[in-house]
Formats: sequence, C-alpha cells, structure tokens
Amino acid sequence: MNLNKTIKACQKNDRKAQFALYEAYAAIVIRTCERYTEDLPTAKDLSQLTFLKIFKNLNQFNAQKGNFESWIRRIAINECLQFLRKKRHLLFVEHFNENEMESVEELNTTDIDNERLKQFIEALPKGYRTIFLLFQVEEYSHKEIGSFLNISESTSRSQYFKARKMLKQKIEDFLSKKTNLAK
Amino acid sequence: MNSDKNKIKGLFDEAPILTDQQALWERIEAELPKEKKKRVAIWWWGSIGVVLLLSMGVWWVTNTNAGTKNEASDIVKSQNPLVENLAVAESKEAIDFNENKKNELVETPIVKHEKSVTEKKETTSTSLTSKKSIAEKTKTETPILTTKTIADRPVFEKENKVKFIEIEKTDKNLKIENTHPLAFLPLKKQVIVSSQLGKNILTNGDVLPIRKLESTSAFIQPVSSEKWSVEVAGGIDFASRKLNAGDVTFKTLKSQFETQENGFSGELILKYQVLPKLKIGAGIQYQRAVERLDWEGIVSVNTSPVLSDSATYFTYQSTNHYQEGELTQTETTYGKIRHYNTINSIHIPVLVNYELLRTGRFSVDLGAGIHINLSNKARGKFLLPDNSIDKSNSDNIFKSSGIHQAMFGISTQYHLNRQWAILMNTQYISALSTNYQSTISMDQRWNQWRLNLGIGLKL
Repeated sequence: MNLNKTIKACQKNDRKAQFALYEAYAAIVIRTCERYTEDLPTAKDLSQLTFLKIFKNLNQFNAQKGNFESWIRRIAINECLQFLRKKRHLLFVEHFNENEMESVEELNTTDIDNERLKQFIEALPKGYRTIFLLFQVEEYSHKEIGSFLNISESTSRSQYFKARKMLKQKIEDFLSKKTNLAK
Repeated sequence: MNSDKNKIKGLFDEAPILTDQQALWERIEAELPKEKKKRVAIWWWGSIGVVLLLSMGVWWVTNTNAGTKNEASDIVKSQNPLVENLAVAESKEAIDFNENKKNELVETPIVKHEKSVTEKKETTSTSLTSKKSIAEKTKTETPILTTKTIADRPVFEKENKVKFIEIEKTDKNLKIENTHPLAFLPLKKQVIVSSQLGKNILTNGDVLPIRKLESTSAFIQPVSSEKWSVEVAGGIDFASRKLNAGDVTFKTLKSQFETQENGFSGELILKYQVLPKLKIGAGIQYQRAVERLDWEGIVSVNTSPVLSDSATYFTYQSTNHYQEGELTQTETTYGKIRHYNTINSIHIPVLVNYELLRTGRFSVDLGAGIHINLSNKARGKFLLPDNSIDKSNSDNIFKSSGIHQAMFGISTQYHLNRQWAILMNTQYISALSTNYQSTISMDQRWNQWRLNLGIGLKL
C-alpha cells in the first residue's frame, strides 16, 4: 500500500482507500484501545470513533512531525483517555513526594510469567495504569503525558512511580506466596 | 529497568484476535460521509449531451431554412407587391441619384424586374451576365453610390417586417451597412431583397467586391423572422432545500434540516421555434438568494468548578489535544440556531416550450427542461437565539457546487404587437440529484419556486 496515495484518496472520500487504510491499521488501533479499556467491545467502540476521527482529520497529518502509525496511535489514545475521563476513571492528585521515587527499585519480572504480569498491570487502578502504559508501553515522556492529561510533569512522574511501586508489591507478594507454597 | 520495560512492552504488542474486522468496518463505513456518487458525473455528461443535441437540432433546422432563402425572399416579394414596386422604384432612384453611373447601370435589367415575379430566374441570369460589365466599368471610376430611401420607409419597414441596408460604393467595393437591430446575427439568416436580385448577401458591414453585388439598392429580410425570440425576465424566487446530515456530528443533533430561501433572479433565454407550437430554448440565469437554516446546535458551554483544589480536571478539546484547565465540569446547552447564507448562483436552463393556448393577445406556454446550476457560492453567518451573531462561526462558510434540476413551468404572455410581449413565468424547479456539501457536512436536495416578470422580443 502506497501510504501517501492512500491518504490522498481517503481525503477524497474514496471508500476503497479508506478500507485499505482500515485494514492496515485496525489491529494497531484495537490493540491500543484495548490497553486502556476493560473489554474488547469497548475497545471496538473506541476504535470506531478513532477511525472516524482519522478519516476526518487526515489533512492534519504531517509526515514531517512523525510517522503515520504514531499519529494514529495518538488519536486512539486520545479517544481512550476521553472515554476514561467521561467515566470519571481519571482523577489525579496534584501531589508529589520525591521520597516516593527513591523507594522504587527495579521490578523483578524474570521470575513471573507474562500472563500473570499482564494481569497485575491490568489490575492497577485506572489512573496508575494509564500513566504506566503511556510511559512504559507507548514510550511517551512524562512531559508529553502531562500535556495529554492536563497534569504537571511531576504529577505524571509521581503517578508512574506509585504505579510501579504497587506493581512491584504485587509481584513480590505473588513470588513470596509462590515460594511458601513450594516449601 | 530497561529489561523489565522491554518485557512489559512486549506483553501489549500482541494484537487481539479480531474475528469480526469486517463488521467493525461496516460500522465505521455507516458513519463516514457518503461517497460521491458517479451518478452526478452521469448527470453532467447527460446535460452536456442534451445541450449538444439541442444545438445540433437548431443547427439542422436553421440550415434547412437557409437553403430556402431565395424562396423566402421570393415569397416576401410575391406576398408584398409593394416590395417589388418600391424596390424597383428605389433602384431607379439610385440610378438617378448617381448620374455618373447612369449609363453603366442602365445595363442592369430593371425592366425585367418590372415584370412579374415568375420571371425572376430569367432576371437573375440576366443580372449575372450584366454584372461583369458593371464591374469592369466601375474599375476606372470612384463614384459614391448611396441608396436613396423611400419616403415612407419606416412605415414600409414596419408593415413588411424588413429593414433597409445602406450601401456605399467606392471605386471597387460596395460597403453594406446593415441597420437591422439583429445585425449581430449571422447573415445567413437574412436575405437581401431588391429590385434586381433575390440573392443572399452574407455580410454585415463588410466590404464586398462590387462584382458580387448585383444591385445598389436593397433591404434585408431575416429569413428566420418570428422563429427566434429572446426573453429577458426577472423576478422573485421562493425556494426550499432539504438537507440531510452527511456527517456524524450533525447526525447526532438532527438528521434533517429544512431551509427557506427567498431571493431574486434574472434570466435571458433564447428560443427557437421548431414547430408552430413548439420552441426549444437555452439561456442563462443569475440568482441571488438568502437561505435561512434553522437547526439545533450548541448554544453555550458553561464551565463550573466541581471539586476541591487538590485535584485537577482535564478537558478534552479536540482530536489530539487536551487543554489545561482548572477543576471544572462542562455543561453544554443545545438550542435553536439560525444560520443565514447568501447564495449566488448561475443556472443554465435548457428547455422545451409548448404553446398550450392562444386567445387574442394572450398565450400560455408550458415549459419543461433541465437546469444546470454551475456554481453556488455562499458566505454565511450564524445567529444565536438572542439574534446576536456568533462571530466564531460567521463568515467561515464558502461552498461551491454543481447541481442538476428539472424545471416545469407555465409562461403567460401578453403580446403587445408582433414583436414584443410581456411575460409572466411561474416555474417549479426540482432537484434531480443530491449533492454533498463537504463544508457543512450535508447532503442537499434543492427545490424551488420561481415567479418572474419580463419582456419577450421576437427577432
């Protein structure tokens, strides 16, 4: 698929081109939406809104500012964040304690299987999980996350380390239980 | 820390199993703006085809008539003996007027023309034999020969529906000055009628070699007299448009809008009489109207604080942007919004007219045809419920479109005389196709009533 030609055709409301674009990026969009929502049906609803926004705003895409996939992912993330905000799942306390950062150490992810680790992350409170995913998976900086969520960079950093701390605690609890059972 | 980061990132990189990708696409497609239908292109080509066919028809009819020009002039002469006699008389006067040419012009077969019209062929042939000698003799001199008008020329012209042309002769050429009001038309449609010839002269203000002109006295008679007519009319328009939401944003508000338009239009239509009661025509119309659009929209967005200062609320503003703000909640109020557009449009109507009845000076024609609305531009403004202008939304609509409409109407005419008539046209112009207005995300069907008053002139 020639991306530039497809985008131009989509801007002219060419249905075939729009479907080609959808086919190429559907998995990425749905995967991104699923990360921030609780279930696949919601992820699909958000994916639908994401694609409508994509088609409507294709003229705003600037290849010099970033690649198309990043642009699409960002729209998907925005849709998810908007959804979470509507559901009142995202409320952040503007509070930052430097001591929290000092107490965070590296996560022990080597002794835990992937599925369990994913479950622990998904079980984090939505605010923590959102910032954790934005930083850890999407690889946005705290400054960028702050601008997404309209919070300060330090708040983003604080929420991230709290999430990390909580995750670490869960992993440690799980591993200690596992060790005790083994004994 | 990097190792756990990579592991965690890898956890979420697997795509979910998507078995109903097509179903999701169908949901998306249903919300997308309707694809431009090729039917629009078909209408364009269809319209062009109709115009071409009509043009060819007119060309064929007029050229068929052109072949009978001599006959037409003969008829004029035979039906109006005065033409013959006056022309002859004028021819004599012309000769007398230019005394220097008397001897030369004596050779023109005036006497023959004083005979009956049935001898015309003979006359013409004699004319042809004599023209050479005229041309040869005029080579050496530089006379000025001007047609002398007859005394009751205006009455004669009016009664016989003819116009004189002025002829000016120089040493080698005759300059023909056509004074007929329709001189701009190709003179294929006109016939020179004179005492000495019934032959066409295809010129207007041109200089002809003298050998091509067999007479110095002439007037013209449009062959197609009463077949061509021009109608100029203007009046008021009442229109309504049905707008269907073509965009998800509007669909969530209201699926359909009714609009009202009032305005005025002016038109110039050229018609050609194909059959005694049947005319075909084409022209141009200009229309200016103000469209009023009432719909439900966002009237105001109020923000108010909702929680304590210890928390931050963020507001989603657009596709990919979160605007900083205080801890607030928003309350959107929907209400009636009035939107005005000023529309300027140019129509090209192509129509067929049938004379339904004619009593005395009145006649009623039935008309039908298509309208091609070539351009439609508007600048709009939004009025809020308190009639204040919403400046953030005003003057930001500029749309251009092409639509096709079918016209059906009745034209009542009061004939002042054989040429002039007062017209009253009532038309209903209905949309043939729906077109999509991308700037306002609407599909529209444009139907309108038109009432025009004007004048008609038979050529």
